Amino acid sequence: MPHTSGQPTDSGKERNGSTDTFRAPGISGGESVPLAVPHPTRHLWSRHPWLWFILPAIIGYAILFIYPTARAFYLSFFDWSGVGPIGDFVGLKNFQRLLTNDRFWNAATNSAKLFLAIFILQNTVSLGLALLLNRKTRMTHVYRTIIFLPVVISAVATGIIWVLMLDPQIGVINPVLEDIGLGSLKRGWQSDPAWAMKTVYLVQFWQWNGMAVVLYLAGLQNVPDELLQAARVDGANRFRAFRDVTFPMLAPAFTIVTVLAFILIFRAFDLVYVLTGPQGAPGGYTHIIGVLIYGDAFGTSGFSTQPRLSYAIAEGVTLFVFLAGASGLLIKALGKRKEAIA
Amino acid sequence: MSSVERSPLSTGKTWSNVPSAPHSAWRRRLSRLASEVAWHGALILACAFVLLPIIIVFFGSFKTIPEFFAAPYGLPKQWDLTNYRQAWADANLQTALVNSVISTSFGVIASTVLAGLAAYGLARFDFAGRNALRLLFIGGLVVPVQLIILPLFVIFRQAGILGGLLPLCLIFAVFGIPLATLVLTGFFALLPRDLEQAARIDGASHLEIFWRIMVPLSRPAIAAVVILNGVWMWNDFFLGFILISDPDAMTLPVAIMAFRGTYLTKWGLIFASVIMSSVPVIIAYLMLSRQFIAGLTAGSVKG
Repeated sequence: MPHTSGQPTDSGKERNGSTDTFRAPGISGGESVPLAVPHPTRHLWSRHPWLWFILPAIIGYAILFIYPTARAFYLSFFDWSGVGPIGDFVGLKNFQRLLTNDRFWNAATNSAKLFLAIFILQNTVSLGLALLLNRKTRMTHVYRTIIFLPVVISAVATGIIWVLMLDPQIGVINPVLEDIGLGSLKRGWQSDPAWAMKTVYLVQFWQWNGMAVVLYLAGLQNVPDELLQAARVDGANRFRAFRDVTFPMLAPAFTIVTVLAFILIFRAFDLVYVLTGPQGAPGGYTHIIGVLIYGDAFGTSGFSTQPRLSYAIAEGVTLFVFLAGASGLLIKALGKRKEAIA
Repeated sequence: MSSVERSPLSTGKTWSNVPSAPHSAWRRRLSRLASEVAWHGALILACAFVLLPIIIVFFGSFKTIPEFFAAPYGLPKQWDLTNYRQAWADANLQTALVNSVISTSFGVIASTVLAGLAAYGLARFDFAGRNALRLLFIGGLVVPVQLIILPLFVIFRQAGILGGLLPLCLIFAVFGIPLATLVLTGFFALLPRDLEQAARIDGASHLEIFWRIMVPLSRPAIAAVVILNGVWMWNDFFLGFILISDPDAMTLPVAIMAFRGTYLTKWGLIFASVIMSSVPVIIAYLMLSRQFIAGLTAGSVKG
């Protein structure tokens, strides 16, 4: 790293505090007069005080974040079950295998569907609730507090809470349907292939709806009232005022809500694991990418009980590359949209 | 329609002065009442969607097994604490609670200190590679935990510390850095430089400036970071699930899932344990709901 020095306001004052290199007072040319021969490392510290601040985080981050990530990329080129010495170098074979594996594509498709479902719900239900909440009454705060509540509840608790709703034996939804005369709709919500993934959408939405509502609400509160009133004066009806004034100004909130959901859902594990287990019951219909990687790494997948760590790592690397690339593109595309409007 | 057309009638104050007013003002009031009812109705519906499952689980936590079949969504027959007492003992919740408190507080404090120092360095000094470094920290947000945990699992196994609470604490301390850096760098960069310069003229060191000026001025941002990281660490299941095998080292979510695995159909006990594990975070949320909402959305607003 090139050692270009300090801050623009580098006045020499700050050096007095922490080093034994002193500047002769009154000399402005930057000629320091060392009282003793400065220790080379001390010199480095005093010239670059920011190093002091960044180093602790860098060290921790390098050991427990950057190194393991690099190590993951390295291991993805080997054939290794995870125990014993690392196996043979196999090049891109793990990637080739996973890209031609139906289970991988099944899980990837389910993750994509889950994202799409949440995306749609966020831009209809959550946005609608945010519009409703965008006025100040005594009850607004109460409603907002309740709607946001599931965001702070753990995924484990959420999953178990919804098992009580959906379970075929002790579940609540089936008896309720029966009691209101809709008994024909009763089913094993989580065991019916046509409904299993939909229940995952529902529960995921239950947990994260509040986040989208609050982010959209923050966006709405940035829309100046005068602008809306001006539009109304110009003869725009409520819908047109929303479409032409409010909606464009929601672009930043839309970007945040979408990118956040994207990252959260493609990395998701806890909630879906609690709801439908390690194999995406029934029969892989709710298998998502985060659960698939776990199963392949530790050998709890239905396909094979053999742990295949390096193969699972290759799946993780693929997911990482996809997430980094796609969220970069998303931010860029959505940012452009914002510029086009401005 | 538009505000220009609004007559004094709509204010509701002067209507009696206008001869033809009473009828139309009455209708106006009625339609306003209707829209008010619709507004509350829609929001109450949304709140019911959130609250009903929680309330039903709360009822369930007091029920005996036969009651689940007899009255699936009804009130429990008795409100005694049998389920709670047994779950507390059998699920080892006391130990789990202590473990959750230890790992979450260690993770929150360590990551906030590390990221706070780093954010000061990144926001207040100009040096080559500053942006690259910032990106390196914040880029951690898109690294899937599923990827990074696998090599870490191997590393901790080699180090012989796998299974206990220590690896989780260390990982929390470091995994909290990306979000904390994102929020704090953004906040520090916005603070005016005058104070800092004045302090430097008075001979304050950088560390003093950081501790005496930046930290006190950044309380809201620090609170946001603490809440943001605290909530996910407290609620984390995946990392603890993979790293902890010793029952005495389990955090709350891990202990509850283990409990659920062994007590498959003892529903009342499982729901009691869910309620007990959620109470601390729900109470904290209800007391500080504004801060929670601001905090949990702070990371995203700047991104």
